[in-house]
Amino acid sequence: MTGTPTVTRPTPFHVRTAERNRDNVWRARNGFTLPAHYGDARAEALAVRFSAIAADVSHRAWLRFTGARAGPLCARAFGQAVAAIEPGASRTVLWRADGGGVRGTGTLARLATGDFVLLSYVCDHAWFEDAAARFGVRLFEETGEAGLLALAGPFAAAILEVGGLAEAATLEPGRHRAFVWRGLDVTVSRWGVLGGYEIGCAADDAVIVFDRVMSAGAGLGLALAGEDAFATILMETGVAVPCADWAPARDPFATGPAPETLGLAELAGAAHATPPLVLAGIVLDSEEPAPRAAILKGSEIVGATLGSLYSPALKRAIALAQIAPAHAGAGTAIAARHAGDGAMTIEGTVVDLPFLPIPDQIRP
Amino acid sequence: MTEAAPRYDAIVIGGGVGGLVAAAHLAAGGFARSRLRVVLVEARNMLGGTAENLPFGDGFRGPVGGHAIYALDPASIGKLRLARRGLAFAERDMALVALRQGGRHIVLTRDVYACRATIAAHDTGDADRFPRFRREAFALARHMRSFWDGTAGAAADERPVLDRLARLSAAAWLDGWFASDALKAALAFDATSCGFSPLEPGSALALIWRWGLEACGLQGGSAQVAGGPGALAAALAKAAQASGVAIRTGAHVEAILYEGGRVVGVRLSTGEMLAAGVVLSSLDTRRTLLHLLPPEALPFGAAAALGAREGARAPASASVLLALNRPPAFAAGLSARALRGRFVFPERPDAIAEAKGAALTGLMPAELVVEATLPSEADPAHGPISQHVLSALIRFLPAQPAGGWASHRTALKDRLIAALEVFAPGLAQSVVGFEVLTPDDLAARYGDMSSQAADALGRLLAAPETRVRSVVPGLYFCGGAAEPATALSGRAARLAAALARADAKAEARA
Repeated sequence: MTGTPTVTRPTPFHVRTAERNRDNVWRARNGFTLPAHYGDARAEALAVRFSAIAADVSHRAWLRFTGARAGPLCARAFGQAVAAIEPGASRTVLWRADGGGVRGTGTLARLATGDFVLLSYVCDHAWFEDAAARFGVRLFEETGEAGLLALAGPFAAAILEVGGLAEAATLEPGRHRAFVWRGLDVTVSRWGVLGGYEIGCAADDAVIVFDRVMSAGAGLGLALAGEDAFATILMETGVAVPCADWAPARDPFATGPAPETLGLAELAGAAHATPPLVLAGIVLDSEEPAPRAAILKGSEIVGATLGSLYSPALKRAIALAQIAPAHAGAGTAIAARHAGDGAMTIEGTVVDLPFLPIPDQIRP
Repeated sequence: MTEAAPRYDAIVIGGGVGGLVAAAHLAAGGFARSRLRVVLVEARNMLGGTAENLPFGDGFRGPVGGHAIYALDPASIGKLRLARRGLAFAERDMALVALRQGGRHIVLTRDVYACRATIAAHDTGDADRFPRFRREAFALARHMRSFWDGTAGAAADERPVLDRLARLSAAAWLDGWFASDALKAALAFDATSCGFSPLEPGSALALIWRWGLEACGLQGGSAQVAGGPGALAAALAKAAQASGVAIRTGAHVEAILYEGGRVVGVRLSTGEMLAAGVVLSSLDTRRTLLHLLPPEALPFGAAAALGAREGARAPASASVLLALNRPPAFAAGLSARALRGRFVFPERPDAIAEAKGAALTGLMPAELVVEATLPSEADPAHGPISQHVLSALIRFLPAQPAGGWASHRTALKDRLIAALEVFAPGLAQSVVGFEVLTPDDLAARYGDMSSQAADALGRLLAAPETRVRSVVPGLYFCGGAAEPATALSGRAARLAAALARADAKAEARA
């Protein structure tokens, strides 16, 4: 990661998202400005459960590795398992500092034999730059150079069919393919953790793609989701987002955060046999979120919350938390205590993740 | 990949002092039930690395590196029975002679009270304070030496002291004790052996490291090997051979082979492969990790840190040997004991700092920073009867001066002679032969060590194990790069051999 950019840029969809952002509320993400919401963040978050949402995700960091040794480079960076990714397929990956601390998570897709792309929440270009040179691999940061529109929810596939991308609707999760969509070159992928689709297009075509998607979804309850709603949906799905919910390792030799504490043990390969903390979900007996709060079992502190948001689907606040394994079982009653001014304690219950079904698994 | 290759238990890359010590200890110790098979591969056709006697002039020979030995590992001398194999010392406790224009040289010997006379010629207060300073500084150095040796396990206690010394310059430290520039320049000079100028933060730590070492059992001493440093190399080679080490000279390692997350051998430039689960490299860290290993072997953070230093500029050193037909006549004369010592100049600490500054910007320094010896004084075998050899190590020279070193070779020799002429009038007329090894020559013969010099403080502050054990399983460092400062030592090599044995045992148990 190159640090938080101080100057923000518009995404290729900005022209359209700006005119719908009636309250003119923005969030800065990875160097780009994105609408916080389009009037009602709760309604937008609920839409992914009942119909579908479209969200501008062009700001996601996009690193491309090309060259004959791109495969070995990715295997060194993300683990040997990525060597098995076929062209057209992808895999969720994490990468770690030398000391083992998690630096980032993302989706690694293989575009061709020697051509990989890493799509992640935050850019870690500097980490890969030196390694790419040593492997003789060319590294390009293409963040924001193309439009990427996420489509998720029970009607996401139907919207693609209505819009004329019926073939894309049949893509298996993790796959991607290029299509000519009524004269436009687009790539439809299924890389997202929400299980939906992403439509990638040239920046110049972004407005047309946006209009077509919105037009196709008009009769199917398609809602635009801003960043606030998207963050809620991700948390409901049990995804701890780097830089939002947890701080990625930045020292090259950092030992933390450990993958187990972020729910990423499976991606890390050799997991810690007895991790001191594990990721768990907490449903609070309140509508008030409790981010960065101590978790108490009786009078003993057994963990801490990461991010916490209000879930309109559960009508309660939810939180991702790092808890001692002994207290991480679903149904355990705990309390979250805010520190500082206005300190208060909120009762809650540990639940399994995800909080709610992944939107793709909801049948219309 | 290495299935058909000759198999060894360990491969040692480089036949310098570090490589020979590591190979001898490995083979002598053994980490398997059967006798350990160790092969040492050396690119040149001779062993010893910088511990070399270089023939020059008409029947002269002189030391290239190590005209004054101060860091040689006493444990290796004993365990490898180097005395029985021919290692002897012509001078066991060399004096430090800070040359002064017009006489009044400062001669620092082990007898601190004898030193007072030469110091008092500059400042009587300094002369009074010197015994106490020496006592306290040596006591601190004795306390700190366990950190670099890795013997006491008290690193955590020593860390605060280390950190404080790492921020302190030798000049500032000595300013608190002494008034005379002459004494301060003399005492601070040894910080240059670690690549520091006396004005730099960390140079105080370099002095403490240097004063904590022992030569011939004498703390802070320097010694001259009888027969020159080449005799040390010969004794070590005998020790290695006696331990059963297979030595291959003229074998240039082209790559270190890496499979399944660890090193598995080496490939020579002839294409021949040698297989072993343990590889010890006495080459510099960057060359070993970035150029010999495939990129898959290195974690990204470590590789980036090494790569960042790749372009780092560090001052270079040169070695000049002069053949003399009569001994130098130093102004005001020097005792026979002093003539067997180390002569150092310039006269001011600031001049050393200026030289380093100039070298870093690619310029030749206004005053040369020189440590010289007269090896023929203690060991006449260096040249024809009644002839003399002067060995000069010139520090803080630009790595790449304008026009390249080829065009500065003769000028460097002339400048050295002119500088010596100031202290020993008539020396120029006594020169009957010379040899100049510029930084380029030294790099071509022994490899480029400039990257190590660029990280002098980092090396001094690193715990022994982190200097020796690499980030790649099965790969260890045993040469000058693994020492706190580049010197003929063998300490790191002994530690590397011990760690390799311990790791192999642990793996075998697992």
